[in-house]
Amino acid sequence: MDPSVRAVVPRSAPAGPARDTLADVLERVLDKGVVIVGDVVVSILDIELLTLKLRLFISSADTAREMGLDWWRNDRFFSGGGAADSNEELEQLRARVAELEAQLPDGHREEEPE
Amino acid sequence: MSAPAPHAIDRRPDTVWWYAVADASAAGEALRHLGDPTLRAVTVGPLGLVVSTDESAVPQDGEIRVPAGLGVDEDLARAAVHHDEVVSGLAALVPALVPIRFGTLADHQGLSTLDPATVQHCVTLLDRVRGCEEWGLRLMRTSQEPEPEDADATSGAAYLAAVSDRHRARREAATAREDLVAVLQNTLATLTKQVARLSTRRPGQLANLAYLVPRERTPQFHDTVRAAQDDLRRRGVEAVVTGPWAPYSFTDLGAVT
Repeated sequence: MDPSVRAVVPRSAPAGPARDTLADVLERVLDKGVVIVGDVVVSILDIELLTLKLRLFISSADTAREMGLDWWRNDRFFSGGGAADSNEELEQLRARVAELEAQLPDGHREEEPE
Repeated sequence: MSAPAPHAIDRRPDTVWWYAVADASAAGEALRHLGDPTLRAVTVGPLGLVVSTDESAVPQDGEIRVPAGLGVDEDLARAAVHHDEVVSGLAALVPALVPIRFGTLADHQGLSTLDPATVQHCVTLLDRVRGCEEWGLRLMRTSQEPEPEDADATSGAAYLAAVSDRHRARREAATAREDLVAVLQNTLATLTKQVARLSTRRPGQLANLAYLVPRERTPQFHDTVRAAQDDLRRRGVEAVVTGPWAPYSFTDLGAVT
């Protein structure tokens, strides 16, 4: 059987299109996270870092926090925190530009677009 | 044996993959029906711990299509699917099953002398899910509701009135949608034994829930969702039911080591 197409044989009639796809299977099986504690940690550290990151990433956030693993919260790639930081930085830059413009003599300021 | 399993970690010879816990009285018979020679049941008091001593049982060949953006490599996906096949196969054969967290390796000797607190916890979880199956329900936004017609904005006042109408219509539509979803969730909660939220988020997802449904109430569960489908669709919401699943979402033993 193609493992990406799991047989859908509900034991009773479903209410709609019962989608039992690979994504659904992974969601169920991995929702509680992959076990990465105990002896396994020692050994898994030998695995290349990127693979380790991806595997932790798919474990649920709650599970990762339970295990004290929350490095990803500070990792812009995974947490998406980059956008918020950029907005804040943009606001700071705008304020700084306005402050500098205020110091310019009349006639040198850029007019605000209508 | 072919290529190493994706989670082949430095294993001691007595390390086993641990898949699930069932009643000791049911585990042996279920394994005979399942016919997988790599699986065995370790009896600990009232429990039958289903383990595999052979990691080559995880298929290493065959194509597997992992959807883009899932963030899961093929080896991991293959191992997870195999895990689910074992767990689901068992769940269909026994009155109660506690799936063990994917990737749990255990010391064979340690399993035989499982501590009494863990044994008792497993017994409690088995009783919780006995006679039940897990069904998933995802509620997804399918489309934006149609925007109300623009008024003839020949004046500023007309323009502002049109904008105000649009905002009000959006608020009303959102409230109606939330009410429908809440009514459905409340009705399903009365039919089921327990509800859990899954941590996965999809774009447009309004809810991602798992229900522990007593088998005799499964038809009512589906009838309830089916009855709500038309109203939900009119409000731009699609209800997707998946299952039946082994009770993954209601039996977390934590990270057993």
